[in-house]
Amino acid sequence: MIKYTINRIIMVPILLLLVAFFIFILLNLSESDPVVLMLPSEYTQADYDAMEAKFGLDKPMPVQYFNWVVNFVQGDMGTSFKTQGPVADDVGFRIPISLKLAFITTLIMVILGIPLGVMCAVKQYTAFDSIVNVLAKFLGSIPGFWLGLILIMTFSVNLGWFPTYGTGTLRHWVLPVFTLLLPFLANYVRQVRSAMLDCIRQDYIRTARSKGAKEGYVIFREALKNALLPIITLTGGIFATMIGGAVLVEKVFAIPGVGFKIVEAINSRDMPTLLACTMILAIFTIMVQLIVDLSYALVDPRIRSSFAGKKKRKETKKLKEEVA
Amino acid sequence: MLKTEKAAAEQLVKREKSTKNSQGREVWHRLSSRPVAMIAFVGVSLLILIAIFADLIVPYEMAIKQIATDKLMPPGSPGHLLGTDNFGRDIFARIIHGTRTALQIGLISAASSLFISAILASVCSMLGGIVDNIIMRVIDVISCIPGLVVALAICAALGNGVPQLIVALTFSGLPMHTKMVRSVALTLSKMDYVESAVALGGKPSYIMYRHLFPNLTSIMIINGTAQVSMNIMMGATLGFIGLGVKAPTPEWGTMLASGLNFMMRNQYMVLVPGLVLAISALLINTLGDCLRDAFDPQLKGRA
Amino acid sequence: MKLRKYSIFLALVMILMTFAACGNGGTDQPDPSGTVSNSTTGDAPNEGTAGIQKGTSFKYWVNYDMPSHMPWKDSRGAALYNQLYDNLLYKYQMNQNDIRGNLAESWKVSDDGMVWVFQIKKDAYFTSGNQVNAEAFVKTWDITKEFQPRYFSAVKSYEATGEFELTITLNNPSATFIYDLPMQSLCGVVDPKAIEQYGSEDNKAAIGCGPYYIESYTSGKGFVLKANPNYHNPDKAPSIETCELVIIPDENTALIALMNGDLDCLNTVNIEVYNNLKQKGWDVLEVEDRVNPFWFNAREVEIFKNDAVREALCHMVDWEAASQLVYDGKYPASKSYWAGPGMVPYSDKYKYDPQLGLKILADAGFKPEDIKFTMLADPDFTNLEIAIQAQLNELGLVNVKTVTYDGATCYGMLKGGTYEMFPCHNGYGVESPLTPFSMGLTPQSTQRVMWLDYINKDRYAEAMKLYEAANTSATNEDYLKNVEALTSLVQDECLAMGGVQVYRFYAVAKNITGVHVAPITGYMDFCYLKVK
Repeated sequence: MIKYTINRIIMVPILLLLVAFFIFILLNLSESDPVVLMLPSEYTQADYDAMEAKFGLDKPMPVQYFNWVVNFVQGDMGTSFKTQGPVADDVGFRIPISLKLAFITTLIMVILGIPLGVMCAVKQYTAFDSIVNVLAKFLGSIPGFWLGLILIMTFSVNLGWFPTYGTGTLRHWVLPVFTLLLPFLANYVRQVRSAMLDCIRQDYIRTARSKGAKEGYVIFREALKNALLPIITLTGGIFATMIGGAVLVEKVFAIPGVGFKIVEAINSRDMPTLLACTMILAIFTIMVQLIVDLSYALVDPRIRSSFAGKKKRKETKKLKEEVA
Repeated sequence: MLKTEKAAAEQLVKREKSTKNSQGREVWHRLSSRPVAMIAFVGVSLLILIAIFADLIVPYEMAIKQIATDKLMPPGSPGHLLGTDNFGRDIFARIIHGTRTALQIGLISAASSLFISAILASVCSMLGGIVDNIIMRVIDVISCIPGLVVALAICAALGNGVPQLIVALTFSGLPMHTKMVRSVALTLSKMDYVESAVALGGKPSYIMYRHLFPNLTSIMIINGTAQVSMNIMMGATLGFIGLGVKAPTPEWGTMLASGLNFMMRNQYMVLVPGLVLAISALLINTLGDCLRDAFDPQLKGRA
Repeated sequence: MKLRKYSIFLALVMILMTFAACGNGGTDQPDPSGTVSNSTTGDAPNEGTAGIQKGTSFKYWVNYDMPSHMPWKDSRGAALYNQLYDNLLYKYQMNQNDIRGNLAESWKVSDDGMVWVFQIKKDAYFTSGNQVNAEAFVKTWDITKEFQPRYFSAVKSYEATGEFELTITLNNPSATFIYDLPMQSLCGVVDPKAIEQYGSEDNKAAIGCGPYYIESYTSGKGFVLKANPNYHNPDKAPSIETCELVIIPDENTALIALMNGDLDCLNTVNIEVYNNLKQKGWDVLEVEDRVNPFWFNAREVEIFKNDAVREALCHMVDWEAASQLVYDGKYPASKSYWAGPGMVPYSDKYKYDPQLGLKILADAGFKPEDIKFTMLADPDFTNLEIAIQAQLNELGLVNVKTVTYDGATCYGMLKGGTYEMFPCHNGYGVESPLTPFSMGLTPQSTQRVMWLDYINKDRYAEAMKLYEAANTSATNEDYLKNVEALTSLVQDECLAMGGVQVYRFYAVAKNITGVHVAPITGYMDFCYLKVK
């Protein structure tokens, strides 16, 4: 287990380095020269060189990449092309906001999604199942920006229950959370349902039933427990997507999150900000994946044993060599 | 009773006759036995037909012609079945020609990302070792960034337009598919017939073409349909952010986004493209689910 | 079949929801009583110092962030700077003809009009508690000059000739200097001690002596401004205790927020927002904004160097029709590149005659499809550009395209000169009709749009001579004459296609009075606002 954990943790920085490299390549594809965008319309070659040197853009790409990594590790995310100030000032405060939005949404998704999914699996092919299925698909097919405006019009303007924008109190979060939630919830319920169905058909469930165990016990203690593994993976994945995928919700509800900053950075060709934001997303995605994998290993003895097995195999191999 | 038995027997004979493409027939048979699947199938076929014959239904000219006197007309106005938008352009014509754009974006990007992922997955499973490791690490790297952000970054690097959008969406769908197809391909490559082909000295490219690809079709079609609707939605999202297709090309997402401004004066500018978008995605998703059931009856009904 | 039924049912529910959302939106809106005073005539002036109304607040919408709070960094922050920093002079209630002393108690001009001596108030303090003196102006201007040298083109030198005496020497006698002085960017004075402590880039140094000070700033969310209790000027004393600048990137959300009472003021050039507000019975203040000529960038697009191409394009756009289509005729087609003083009506080169335009193109040896360029649009003008693109495409100019970026990006591209065609008013002000030229024509210009030197070097030299003459004219008549000559020269060269006269719309919550808006720039001073 410890070895597995260490193995996975070592992979994190390597993966991050590669992500940064990938974004570097992608940004270098862009035709527009950021230096020209920052300079006034009439400039001399000296001005150009000075500006280029100021942002370290005069060096070859690998050197730029190396410098960026060294600075990033030290907590310096670079200088924004747009504000010409430190990127960290503009991005740092957004992380908790994005996390909060993603966290609340995921929490509600789990609270609503798992019971609904289980219900659907238990009552397969009933009207309830069909309604949830169609509703899920339909909600998943409505673009988020439209849904957001409909919710504002209905619940803020007509009913006056919630404020229209902002992030102050808990009431502010209700509409954005639901706008973000609905399309994801649809997919989530369907996945929970299919994970449950997978389990319900297993032999041990049949055995438990034939032994005369109560249906509730079978469903919640036996089937759900085993279905939790894929559900954890799914939840982790959706949480990671939500941190950066809430672009539209952030725009419509004026929430200063990381996702919307990415759109702004792309629109203003502000590469250092884009790079920093994407890295933050990647860090969270990888962290969530790591936690999911580790909890998997914790729950599933097979993964643990595969590592123990390797170690033991090596030991026996060594012993054999020594004997030889 | 006798009749159905006879029909069944006839079908059995028919099926045995057709040695080629038997899986396709089987699938079609299962599909046609479910009304929901048929509705979805007919709906999607209709969408494709509309996209192909858009020019016959209504000339493209109508979709971009701006008429100042016909601004913001409600549906049912003379000459404008679904009304007009803020430029006096016919919404019906824009929806019809938007179908073409939407399907272009959805189908081509889904197909190409599936095709690439199938090649990558086959290469991974056939060659294994370092090649597999390298490809999968690259895929891991892309999958660390949310798909929407990948698409955004590529669109920003390449600029606006339908081809650029297709490239961006192809790329953003790649990691998920490659992972999924690879796991199937790995199981396949351990099958007896593949191993015997390898033992007989078949070239990897031959084995890929002859043994792996045909068996990957089902999972590719299933994933592909889901990806089509997802890509149409993502295209609409990018349109809302301003990275979508160029004006005045009709596209549902852009129509919806620009209609939001006029929501209070003519709600149909939002309602029509929004509903068309939602219903199309619903149809395509339903068809995908039904196809999954049809390809693998064991999985029937599981999402 | 079940599934199908449900989906139809759901579709119906969605339709109903949207109808409900769209249709009943305005049932509980404030009644349309006249609450907004006209910008130029003004309402009853502030009777003395009414004092700060405790517990009152005002929320003002902005759609972009202002990461730097220092007045010299970015002119886009004017909505903020106007509240924070005070000048020597100010325009009373935004009226450009009513210039009064603000931090200057009195001032004298030498007979030749070259030397201006200002006596500075002795009872003015920065919000940090430090006293305002002549040295503070000198220090602020030293930094401003570094960032924005353009503002000081007419100024030879400035110095503190006493603790409270400031002397400014001009290069030439200037008729417009008195109008330029109240401009925020030139004179907004910042506490020099704060600059010494934090440096000129740090927002902690954003300490002025204006009617409001920053209580808190949250990047991405906005500003909370508090009324300055020790404000020096009773005519401009703030009434509302808390003013907020709220950042909402999406205009539709902002509109809904205003109707819902979550915002107190929205200003926009979006005609549809105006229509929506009117429909819901709001009283909307209309202020003449800029004319936005569509400038040809001859540096980026080779064909624009050809006189015939530019002239042909000027003939090819029916601005009246475009205005009817996009703005219901609310923004009329422009008569000149600028509105107001210095305006010269368009010559025949701007008459709508597409066949003539095509003929000019053909005579110059161009096929319609050779004309290839992309119009850059900020979201405010996307629809206008789509309409114009359709007109040009219909005439066979199929390679004319449009691309939209957000306002900040367009501004950046404008500054860098990396665009092909851009509609832009370029700093025009009624009191300073020369500004568009200093911002768009001169080599040091920050928003270069007139690329005459790339088209015709001789004409450019001629234009620069007129520009210099205008800059140094001794009387207002001379000044205007030179500006007019310059305008007609530029118009004669067809440096831009025509445009439309834009209006800016202000909708203010009905309990707020005392709205004063500067024409063209659209700046608003929060200090005149009151809660009923």
